[in-house]
Amino acid sequence: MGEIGIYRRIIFLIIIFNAFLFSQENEIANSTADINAFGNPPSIDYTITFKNAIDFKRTLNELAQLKFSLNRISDNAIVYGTQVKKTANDKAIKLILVVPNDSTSGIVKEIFSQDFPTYISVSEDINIYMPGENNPFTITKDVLKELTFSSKTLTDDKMTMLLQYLNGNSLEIINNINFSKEVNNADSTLSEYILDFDVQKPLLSNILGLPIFYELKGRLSTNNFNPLNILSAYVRYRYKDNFFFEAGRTGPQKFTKNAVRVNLGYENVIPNLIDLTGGSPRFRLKPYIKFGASFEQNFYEENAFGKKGSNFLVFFEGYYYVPVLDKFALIFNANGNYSDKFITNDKFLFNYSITFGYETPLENLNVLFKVADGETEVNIGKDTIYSLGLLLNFIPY
Amino acid sequence: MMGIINNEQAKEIVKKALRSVGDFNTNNIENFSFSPFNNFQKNLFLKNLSTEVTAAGFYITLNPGSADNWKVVSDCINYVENNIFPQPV
Repeated sequence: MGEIGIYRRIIFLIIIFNAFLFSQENEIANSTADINAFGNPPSIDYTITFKNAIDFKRTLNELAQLKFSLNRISDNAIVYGTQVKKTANDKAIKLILVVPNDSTSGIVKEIFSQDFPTYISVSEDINIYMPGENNPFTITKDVLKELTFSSKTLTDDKMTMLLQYLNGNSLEIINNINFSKEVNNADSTLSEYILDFDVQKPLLSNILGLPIFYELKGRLSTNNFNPLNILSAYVRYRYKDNFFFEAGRTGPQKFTKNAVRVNLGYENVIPNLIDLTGGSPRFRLKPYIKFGASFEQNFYEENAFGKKGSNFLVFFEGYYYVPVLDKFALIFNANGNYSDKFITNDKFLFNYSITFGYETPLENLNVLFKVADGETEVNIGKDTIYSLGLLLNFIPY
Repeated sequence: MMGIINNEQAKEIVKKALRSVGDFNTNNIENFSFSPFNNFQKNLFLKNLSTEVTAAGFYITLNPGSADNWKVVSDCINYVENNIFPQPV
């Protein structure tokens, strides 16, 4: 080999080495699979984020030329009814797995299968371009397969969320648990410990994709006879965002006194009713209301109906967080039931709490004063409870 | 490098979504807290945020978990700025 031949070989190796170097100028920082619950329709979004910035316009053009699909690992066949869309920004590419709104839970289960996994397939390797560079960073078909393997990226929780939102329903997961020590105004030496909670989780969500939840809600107290005590356990079905149907147990905190209750209701926010900010630049959250009709079958006598039996009621619930001046807030919580069968003088049994506190930056409301007052349909009697001082932090969820 | 949108554009989108769940008389919305929101109000806000992003011609991945780390509105604005994409093809 002559001298010129050696130089040619060296130059060729330099070119190859440079190309290799340029192709390594980026790397995958992380890869995630998330449910876009509020998409229209909801989707499974795979996001591949890069360490360095990318030329998203050029990368978008590249992505547009490629054909993506969701395939089964077992036979490489496309999962029927699914579609993969794609987009890119300056840091990441996103592959959006769209499942039609009328999908059965069978298709969703197939997508999320752990035993027979699925993955995103692409017609060619994906070239990702960096600003001002002509040599792309390449994501091979095999790397994409690895990043989108359903058994590694998709969990049961994500499937549950997708199923709920595919059916046009918001996934409510309330985990509101408050523990407090309150002073009884009848005898200030008696301390009463209160547990307020509202826990809601999906139930049977993989059956036909129905948005069914169970909900445990209540107010339990160390004073067994407090008339505000209540313990409810419901199975709830949601229709669209605002309607619900629920059935379950309600009654005092004593398990020997039970009632079965069925509620049909509606919930939403309404326009603000008052402005106590005095012109301060505060955010005034709109009030939340919930109301409906109920059927209640009582199996004990010590309730507002005064006997065992079945009755119809109407009910309402409300929550209103009212900012006051520049740093204070009032919180109104109320719920009530109406029935002309109540043996009380007032046929509208109503209980409420009013909380007053002050806000500190980046923290929850610091409670200065709270009063809880009223009566419930599952107990007899009425009570008022005051809480003073910095006993509570208001944590809505 | 300039992203898809800047922080001010993200703020305008978030402002529109905030109006579906509340009222305010200032442009300084960054320190508004999410802690008073109950679950229903939080869901409603996220749904409207997604709608506003789409109306502005963009795409964003949102679910209830997205907001878990948002204490104040500026956290939401930053999330929108950093996670917005052109409409998918």
